[in-house]
Amino acid sequence: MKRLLLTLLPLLVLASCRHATVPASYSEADSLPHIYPEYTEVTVPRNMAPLRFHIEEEGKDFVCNFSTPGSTLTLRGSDVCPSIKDWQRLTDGQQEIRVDIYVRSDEGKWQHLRPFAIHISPDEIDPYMAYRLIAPSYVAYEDLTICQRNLTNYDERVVYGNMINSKESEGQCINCHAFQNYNPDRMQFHVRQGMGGTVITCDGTTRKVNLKTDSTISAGVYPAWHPTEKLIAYSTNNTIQLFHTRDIKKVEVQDTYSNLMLYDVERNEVTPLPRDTNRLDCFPWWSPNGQTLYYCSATYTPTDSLLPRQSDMLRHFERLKYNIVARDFDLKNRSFGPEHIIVDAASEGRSATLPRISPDGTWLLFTMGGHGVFHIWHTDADLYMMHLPTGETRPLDEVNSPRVESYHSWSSNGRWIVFSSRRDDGNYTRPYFAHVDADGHMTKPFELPAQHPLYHRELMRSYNIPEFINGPVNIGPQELARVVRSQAIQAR
Amino acid sequence: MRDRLRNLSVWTLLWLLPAALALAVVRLEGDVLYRAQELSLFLTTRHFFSTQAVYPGGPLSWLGCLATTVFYSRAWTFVMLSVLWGLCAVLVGRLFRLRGWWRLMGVALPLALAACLTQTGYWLYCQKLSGHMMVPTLGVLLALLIALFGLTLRRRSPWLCVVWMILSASAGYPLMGAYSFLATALMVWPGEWRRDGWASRMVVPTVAAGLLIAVVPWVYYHVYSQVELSQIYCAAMPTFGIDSNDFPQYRLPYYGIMLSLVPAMLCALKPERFLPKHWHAAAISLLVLAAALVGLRRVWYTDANFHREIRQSLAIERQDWEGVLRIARERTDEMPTRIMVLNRNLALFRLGRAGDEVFHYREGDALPNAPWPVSISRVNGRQLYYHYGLENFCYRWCMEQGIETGWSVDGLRLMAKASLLNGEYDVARKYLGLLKHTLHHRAWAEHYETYLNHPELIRQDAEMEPITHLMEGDNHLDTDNMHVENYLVNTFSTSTGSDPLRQELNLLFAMLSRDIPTFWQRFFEYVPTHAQQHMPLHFQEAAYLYGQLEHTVDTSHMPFDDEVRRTYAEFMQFNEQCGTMTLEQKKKAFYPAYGKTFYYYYFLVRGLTTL
Repeated sequence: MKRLLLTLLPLLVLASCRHATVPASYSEADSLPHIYPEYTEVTVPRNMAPLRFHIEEEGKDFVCNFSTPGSTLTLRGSDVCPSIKDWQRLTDGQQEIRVDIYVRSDEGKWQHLRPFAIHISPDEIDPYMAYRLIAPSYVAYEDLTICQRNLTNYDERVVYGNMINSKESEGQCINCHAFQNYNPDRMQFHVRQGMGGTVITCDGTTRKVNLKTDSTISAGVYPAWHPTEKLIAYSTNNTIQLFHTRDIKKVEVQDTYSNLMLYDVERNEVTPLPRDTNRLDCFPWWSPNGQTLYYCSATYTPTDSLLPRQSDMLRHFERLKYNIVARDFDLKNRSFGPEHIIVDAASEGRSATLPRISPDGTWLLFTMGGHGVFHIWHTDADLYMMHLPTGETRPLDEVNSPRVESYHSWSSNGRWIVFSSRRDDGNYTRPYFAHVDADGHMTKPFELPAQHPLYHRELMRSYNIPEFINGPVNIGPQELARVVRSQAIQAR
Repeated sequence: MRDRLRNLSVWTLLWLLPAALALAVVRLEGDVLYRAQELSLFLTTRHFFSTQAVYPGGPLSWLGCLATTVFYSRAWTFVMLSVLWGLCAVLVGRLFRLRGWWRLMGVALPLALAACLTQTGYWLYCQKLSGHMMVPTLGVLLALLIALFGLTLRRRSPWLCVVWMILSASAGYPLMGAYSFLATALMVWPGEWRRDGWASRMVVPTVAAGLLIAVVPWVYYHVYSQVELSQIYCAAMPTFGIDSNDFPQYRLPYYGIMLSLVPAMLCALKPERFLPKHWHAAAISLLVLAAALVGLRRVWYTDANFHREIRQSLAIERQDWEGVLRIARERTDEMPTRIMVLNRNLALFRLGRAGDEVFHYREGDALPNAPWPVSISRVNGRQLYYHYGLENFCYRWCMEQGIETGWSVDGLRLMAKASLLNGEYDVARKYLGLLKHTLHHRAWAEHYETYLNHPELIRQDAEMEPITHLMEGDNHLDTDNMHVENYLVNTFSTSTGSDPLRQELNLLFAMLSRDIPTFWQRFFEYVPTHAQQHMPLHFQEAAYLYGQLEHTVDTSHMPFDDEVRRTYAEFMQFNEQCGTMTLEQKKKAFYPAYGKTFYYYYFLVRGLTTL
């Protein structure tokens, strides 16, 4: 009997966590509940994984009631973890979920906090997102993974992890995963140091290429797949970094030289774009029709002729300001037209980077900060958006925070963006999503839902380069590892 | 009666010898074990377990981290090690069916396990395997238990044993990595040679074990996405490589584990047939133990400075600045490492006595006893940066080290404190939140958590208040290139400050830099704000010496202490008498009378190596 009770007890406890009832009597409080992640009044796609959160109120007991006209769900405890099935039942055909939170004080009295809504958008989001998980380090790295997350649930799988090919004597950095037009079957990422090269998967074939040629500054760095052709535009960069002695930005990453090049995947051929060495071009991105290449560009003007270029740039690092520029691309001749400025940030003493065009070609989303190109370390970096037909530009106040906002991507239907933000604690990057309507208005962003509400508080890594994909990457880590171990094919 | 007495003696020794070993380890390595606990991390969260479990053997590593938290208390460490090692010794006897005095052979295993722990030395700061100090003991213990159960099954049927082998190897590899091979291999031990059908009893399990050891890791290679192919047979084993150098000598204790089991295995040959007397068994067992003891002695890491560095670090944590100096005064005939010198200088500065006493302690640059260059940044660079107000650099090295060798209590605490001083309260909250999930550091985290909502408490904190005085200065881009000492000297000696404490620090490092123009710049910043105080002796000595050496500054009107002038005159006179001596001879000759002066430091302490 005792054994039976011991066996049943945990089950009873579990059951009591699941099925709760709203307190019969309670007092009303005017304040919104403090929850983590901050999900009050956010808008989520109907196919998103349930928003699980932790109630951060002082109290002995908690009850959370989700209600829609058709159904309710009541959960008990400070960790509010609706199941996928319950969430689907709640969101099915609904526009919003009302959330009521009740807190029991030490004296045993229940208090009902101001209810809030979670709005459900009928616009779906791409089912997968790829990103790199990396500790926000400076020089050292150890365990890096390019992961894919099923956004409709909590499944996270490793696409490729560097430790599968890392030895103590030969570390390996992996970075810059990119996909052609949300297609997981056309993917590339770089491997640096040990077994270096660029791994390109295209229509069932995976190979490793060495994109460094005599005519390029470096191998390919920041990539942009052409939306239709087997072409990848890359920036090539010579990058340095130094540390801030006092500023909490902590590190400054700066290109001393950078240029663009075009890589033809089928011909295995690299074509650098001719350039003045005092121009620094970076972060290319194609328009959705593939007829324009956007990128950011700065002009380096030596301030002290006695100093070497690198030292001069580092001493005056705040003077480097990037504009967003574009060039028309003639696909037939593979040639580029003259450069024209799209966002003249430098004239306003600002620096604009990471241009991304919405799938309908209407909106240009970019990051702007006070200086430089590597905005993830710039606390003043914010998202801005330009209406391309009119040139009207505005800061996205509805999604920006006092902390860093940086890398961003559009969903394939153009109704959602994902962007990197350090708003949680200023140091660790988390992906946030916001809905975009036809007029370019965005809703309050919400953090990537995690299986356990406090997961991101414990996670000692940043999400890097969040990119939507329309399905899972099917090639396994071991197969990619085999390709990484193979000899890189030299690009022409 | 005699048999019972003998049995009792053997059993007593089987528990007593491991307990004695545990006592020796705790007595001699207590400070190292405590520091190991600080340089490790165990969180009572599901996420922490999952981060360990992405590697084969991760759960064993997790268990190792849990056991490492016991090092917080010497008494409990003794209990834990005694019990675990005692169990190992007993299980060896059970596994190999040893009788009488032969059972003492089992104690060789705890000696090998102790060697894995006591050889650590500077690997404390470089080892990447989480819970590395306790993983061997726990792994071997689990392997013995699994094997014992397997052998029990084999007595019933070899097929039952094979089923158990398959189960234990399949489940054991993800749970305990390479230690599951040991369990599988031990189940092959012939055990009962003389029984009928031993061949069939041997062949089936041996073939099965061979296949399992070869195949299981390879199968799991396709399950784990973060394991290098050549490492699949070494899961949960420590790596002894730094950069591109491998140090295979540190694997000896691990071979020792295997070797320690061989004598017990040989007892399957029934040695009592040739050595029937009890004293034969006792003598041979004791011989084996003596050999194991010699092996343990040979790999036991001994370096007094290593222990002193650790004790100084712990004293700094407690703000026991006099304690740091007491340790610095131990064995003045031995040369200190640069880490010890830097710790000592920090303590003197915090006590406000650096200007008077910094040369009262022996200078030196003894190399740490390790076959690779031990960098200060790896050992306590972050602690020094924290106390000198260079919080970004402290944070950086905590981050870099956390990434390379795993997150630690020490790293999280420093990151939290550095973030508090930087005004980055949200990220400080993150680290304090993690520390609240530890077993022993929750109270510490809760104490600092109050600072998040009351930052004014930072300026009332005895440890942090002086640091806030050092944090002035403009922001600029810089790097230490991993040379902590040089960076500290260059940074402070060349920077100006308006806070009197910062000026004192600047002047101290300017004096240590021996750069005369820099000294005068810092000196004239220091003097106006310290006019009401007696000028510290060494600052006077430096000013007097530089005034005599170079006449760029008129020192004739400066009120030097008589002692300063007198010592200088005597020093110079003695120097003339020793004109033909080499530098090394002069060092010895001058030290008794002038070793505690700046003059000695300036002229005779040269070419110190700092890493």
